[in-house]
Amino acid sequence: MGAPKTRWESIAFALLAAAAVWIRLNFYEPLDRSVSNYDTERYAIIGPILSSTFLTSEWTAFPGLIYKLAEPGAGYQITNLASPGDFLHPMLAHQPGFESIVQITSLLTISAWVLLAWVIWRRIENATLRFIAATLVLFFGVCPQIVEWDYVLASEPLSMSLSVILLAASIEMTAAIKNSRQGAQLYLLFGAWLVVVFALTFTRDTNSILLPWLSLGGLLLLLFHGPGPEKRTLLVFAIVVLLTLFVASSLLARNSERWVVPYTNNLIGRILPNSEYMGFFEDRGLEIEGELSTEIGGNLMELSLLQNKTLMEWIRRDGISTYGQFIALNPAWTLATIFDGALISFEESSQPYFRANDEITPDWLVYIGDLLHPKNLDVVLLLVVEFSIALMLFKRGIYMEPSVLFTTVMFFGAALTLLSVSILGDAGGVARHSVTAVMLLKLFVWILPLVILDGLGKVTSQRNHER
Amino acid sequence: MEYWLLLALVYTIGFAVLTFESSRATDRMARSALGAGFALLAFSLLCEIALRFELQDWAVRGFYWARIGLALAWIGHGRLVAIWPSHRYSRWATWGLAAASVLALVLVILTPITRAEDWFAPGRPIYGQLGDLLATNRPLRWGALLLSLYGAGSLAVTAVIAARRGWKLALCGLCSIAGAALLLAPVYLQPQEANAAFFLMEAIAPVLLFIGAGTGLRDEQAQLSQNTSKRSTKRGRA
Repeated sequence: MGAPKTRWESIAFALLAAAAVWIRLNFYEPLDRSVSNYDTERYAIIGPILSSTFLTSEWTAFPGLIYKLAEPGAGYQITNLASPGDFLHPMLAHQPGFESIVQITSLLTISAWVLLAWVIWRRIENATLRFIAATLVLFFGVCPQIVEWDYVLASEPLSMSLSVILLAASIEMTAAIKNSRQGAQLYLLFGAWLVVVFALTFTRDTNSILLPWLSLGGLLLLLFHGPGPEKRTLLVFAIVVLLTLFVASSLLARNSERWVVPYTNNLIGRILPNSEYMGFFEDRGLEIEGELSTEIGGNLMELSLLQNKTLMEWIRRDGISTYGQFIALNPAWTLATIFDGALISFEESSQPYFRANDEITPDWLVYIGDLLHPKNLDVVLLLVVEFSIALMLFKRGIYMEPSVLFTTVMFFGAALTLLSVSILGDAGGVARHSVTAVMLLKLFVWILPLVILDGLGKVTSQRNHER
Repeated sequence: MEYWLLLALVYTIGFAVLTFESSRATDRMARSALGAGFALLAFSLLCEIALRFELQDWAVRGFYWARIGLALAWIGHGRLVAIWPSHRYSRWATWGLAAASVLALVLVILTPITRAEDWFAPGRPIYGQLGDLLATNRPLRWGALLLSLYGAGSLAVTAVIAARRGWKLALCGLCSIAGAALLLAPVYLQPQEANAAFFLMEAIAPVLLFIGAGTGLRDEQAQLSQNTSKRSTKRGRA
């Protein structure tokens, strides 16, 4: 139910949200413009939805579904291609057929941020602090660092929006488990939450790493909160569904071809340039000869390697297990790679595909965006300190909103894992792959202070009340 | 690390809100003064953030008025009033400080700003550029200095007094002195580069002041009310 609000407060929030939507629509390029990358082609020529290969194709299922459902009669035409690796950064342009994709993505993005702002606004008790929180969340979501992704025809913008919706829905679900909400309302919320979980899982393969964290959250609620029988059943069901989905999505991804190019990127970009690491892979059957030996340390995304039959056979048979062993047996390399990748990810989380139009987006909005989306890795350290303070205060009886605190702690862990997996998963496009995780981490920088302050405010008002 | 300024602004607004909302009839004057100090500090951070974007007259004037002159004075005054809540000079001092604040505002508004867009560098800390930007006169400069000294002195005096009432309050006093030092340091050191140390200093100062002055005040009030109830129990027995 959240903290009680007056009618004027609700009107003020509606005005705030309307202002955010107005900024989104007026300070960015029209929604009929877009930019493609090399991945867009896969979605533009997607096969039939009701086929056995839909979930194991070159495209991920949810973006594929959106592109298929929104496809106009004349189909899609890629006319504005960007390739950051080749220093190709065009301006946005109209690409026939893709207008509806940008519109759907933009609608999802703005809905996601308004929803999250509303949920946070509902959960924070202090009236002033809740408006500050809502303002920060809304501004975070209408800054160029988020909005510009809407124009990129890729899976990233969908992944970002869905993760924000999942965060909002998870806060509400946690609150629903903890409070007296029951019956149809609870099941409706759970159903909506499950739909978002499925959509996010099938938007990018790495997103499935969020599922164990969500299961852990459910398990902790089950063990330590001790909900009634109805909610206990619901939690057990949710945990089973999440773990099943994790296994199923991992198997489906494994059986697709989507991971092969990132895998070869890792081989030629990160592992084989080092003779010691090369030896590790050679000992496990990788034959380094011919084109592979000449490509070591060269350009990533070397598609000609995909024609190398021996290499592809080895990758499909032993590739994943060998890389898994390598990661486990070389913790120094693993940590260094994650650290270097995280530095890049925080520095370059803005879209790299097109040149933004300075005449439409005002400088002050870019400046606010730079403030709200810090580029330093110290964000992680700051969050660790803030979470520690929050948990310490919570332990001392300072009652911070538990649904927000618990969910953000879970998502913090999930985002760090997602960041690590995204970095280790591909030597190329590190910043692009980890944009969802980085966005969540940057977002918590602004949510957490308000949760802590709100908790301190509750103590003060409680003390005043007692006196 | 530019975002540390915005983070400091969020926290400082929160501190101001919590301090104002926690005031009761018994300590309203102290809390209000402390809250005003945090509100001024928040406003000065807002001005600083605006100035890191571009030169704005209101931000230059606002920063000088709120940060250089008043924030520390009001926070220190809040602590002083908390120690002697019923002293007759407390009320006079509050009115005096309020009058000085209004006078300082008028003087700052009347102070001309050098048209210096050519050399003004938003990326550099405002502290080092303020002297050339704002053509301050002696009354304003000396007034600002006196107000800062009053604030810092009040925090030091209250810290010494509070230190005799237990280690917790001593620690709070230390925090408030450290916060005041961090707030004053850039005014006189005038850093030329916005590096990590500068941003850290800007962000930590309000937190230390809140822990020191805000929490210290709360613990002190709790101790005072405990002592009062003990005394009244003794009197009742007698």
